[in-house]
Amino acid sequence: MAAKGQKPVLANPMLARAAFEHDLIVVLGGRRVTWGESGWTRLDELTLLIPLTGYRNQVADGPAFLLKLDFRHYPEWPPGAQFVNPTTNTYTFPADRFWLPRLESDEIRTHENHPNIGQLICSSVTREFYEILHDVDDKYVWKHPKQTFAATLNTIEGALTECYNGRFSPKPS
Amino acid sequence: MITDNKTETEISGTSENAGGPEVEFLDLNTNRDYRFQVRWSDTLHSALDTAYTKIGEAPTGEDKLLCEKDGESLMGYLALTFEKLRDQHICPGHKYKLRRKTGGA
Repeated sequence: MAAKGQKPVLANPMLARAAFEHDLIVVLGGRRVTWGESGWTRLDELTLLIPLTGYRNQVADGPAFLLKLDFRHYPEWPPGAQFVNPTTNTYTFPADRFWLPRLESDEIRTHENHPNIGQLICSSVTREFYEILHDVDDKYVWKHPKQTFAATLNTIEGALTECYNGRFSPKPS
Repeated sequence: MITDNKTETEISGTSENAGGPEVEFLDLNTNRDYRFQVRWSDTLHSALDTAYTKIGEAPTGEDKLLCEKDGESLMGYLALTFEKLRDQHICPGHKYKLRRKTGGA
């Protein structure tokens, strides 16, 4: 179980996959879409790619971003979350800064190259937040099944509407 | 979809013009739906309390209730009855999103 001051540990892959697939059905249902309609892709059994759009003043800022969720530590820990270059499905600093949205609020903040971890979507619903032993109020510590990866996705997607401040680089490398 | 042990047909057959509308709360922590019937004289706040009971969580004071359609905050309308909400055309679909605060930044 996730806990403050502890680093995430890998889950049993079969249990992680079972939890992911169970929650995936609910998450898609809540979004009123089927898998085929979602536009999502699975890179492998425990990795999900989700296109997301940033909005400034309700105007979409294209091209879309690509969020990669990594379920290897799920569900005891939240999924790893990274924005990636849609060509490579990876993030390399500084080449891929264009593909990283600048999200800035008191609940979430993106970092292009955080010490020891690289890209960081700093929020208590991402695994990387716990990897860096970020301080957190007990009430915000990840708790499955009260939270599923819906919380991760909805927090990040909401931020792309409410606190999106452009890209870390104006042009792709 | 969570429907309080009733089918969608059972609920929709008694909705709107009868005792009151069917409401739907989407818990953004899980994307689970909680649907139930309310009376026109019920307030949005009382429906929210029912939703918390069904979710099995207590309100935190930091939570936000949003209209599912446009994402507008409804926190300023919690004291209104569904009759008033209807008359003022506030979130007319009766579909709501419950967002909990997260830590970070």
